[in-house]
Amino acid sequence: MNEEKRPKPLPPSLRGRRRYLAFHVISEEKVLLQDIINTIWHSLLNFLGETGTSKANIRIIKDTYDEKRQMGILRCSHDSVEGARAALALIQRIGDTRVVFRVLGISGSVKATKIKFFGESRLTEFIR
Amino acid sequence: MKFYDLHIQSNLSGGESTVEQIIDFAKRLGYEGIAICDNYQGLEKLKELKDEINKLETDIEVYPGVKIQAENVEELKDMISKVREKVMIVIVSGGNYSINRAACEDPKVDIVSHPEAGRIDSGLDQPCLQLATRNNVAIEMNFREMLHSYRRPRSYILNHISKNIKLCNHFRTPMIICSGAQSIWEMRNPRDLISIANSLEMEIGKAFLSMSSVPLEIIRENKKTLEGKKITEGVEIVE
Repeated sequence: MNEEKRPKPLPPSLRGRRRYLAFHVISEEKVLLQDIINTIWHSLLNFLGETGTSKANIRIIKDTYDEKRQMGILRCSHDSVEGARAALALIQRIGDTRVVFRVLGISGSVKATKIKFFGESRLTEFIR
Repeated sequence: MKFYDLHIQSNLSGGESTVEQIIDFAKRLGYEGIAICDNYQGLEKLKELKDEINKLETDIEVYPGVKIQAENVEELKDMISKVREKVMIVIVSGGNYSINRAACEDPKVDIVSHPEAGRIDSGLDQPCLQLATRNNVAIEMNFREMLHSYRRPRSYILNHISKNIKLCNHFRTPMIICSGAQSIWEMRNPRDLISIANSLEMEIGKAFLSMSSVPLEIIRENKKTLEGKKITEGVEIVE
């Protein structure tokens, strides 16, 4: 096996503090995830600038995107939540489709975001 | 917390969405109340708007309002005296310094909208803000202006708004955050508008107040005046 070596994961005290924003895209017509991602990056770079975006440590988590309801999760650092939220609010079009980005809320982990805003259930709820 | 947006325009005056669509969308975004402020085009149009609002049954509070776009100060004063006793919210469209100042001087005005529009400065100065504080006129942070500008013009607008926020803070002038939307696609979540204000150096607590208690106070005062309970500043009929 020729697996690439990775650095050890940092202890929690040394990791950056992250927040997860659940967003809902209200649009005239259906929009593709790739277009949403491009538009979010465009808006973030315009509003926060390159240094601001790098500090915000933005990731859009593709696996969690709900295509049917057009809901997704965006990760950012804990001190740039307001900036990221503002950048999302300033998006008005994806291609030719008019959209409204609505932030449903913020959470500290992907799991909690899914439970809180996507209506997913905990495994413990199925016991008994 | 209850949020209000006091500056939305309907299709009755150049907007795109109907009153019904606006109300539905505002409810979806979590607003407790809105004011539909169409451009002033005579008292008949105003009556049409009022009828439209009264016709609909809604869960949220909806108020009729007027946005005054005047060429000069005399015209502004004339229009204000015509509409003041007929609507809940009176907004003056700013941009011209003399109009901004005249609006700040008049206690009948509720909101001065986008004082920095189309200017190379922020459109307000020390005397304006002192007058606005004394007369309880709120200065608006208009979201639509930011939404429709891009790159350099947007950076100027954000800079001017940020300056106005600082000045309002200093003079304790009420500040209000409005979407200024002309269609439902320009409306945003109240919390998102607060985030924008916060990134323009408005304290988060004050940003919350300028979407909730400042508009609520305007509505409460105007309700009293329209019902005839408030005779003049400081004189009220208490039952």
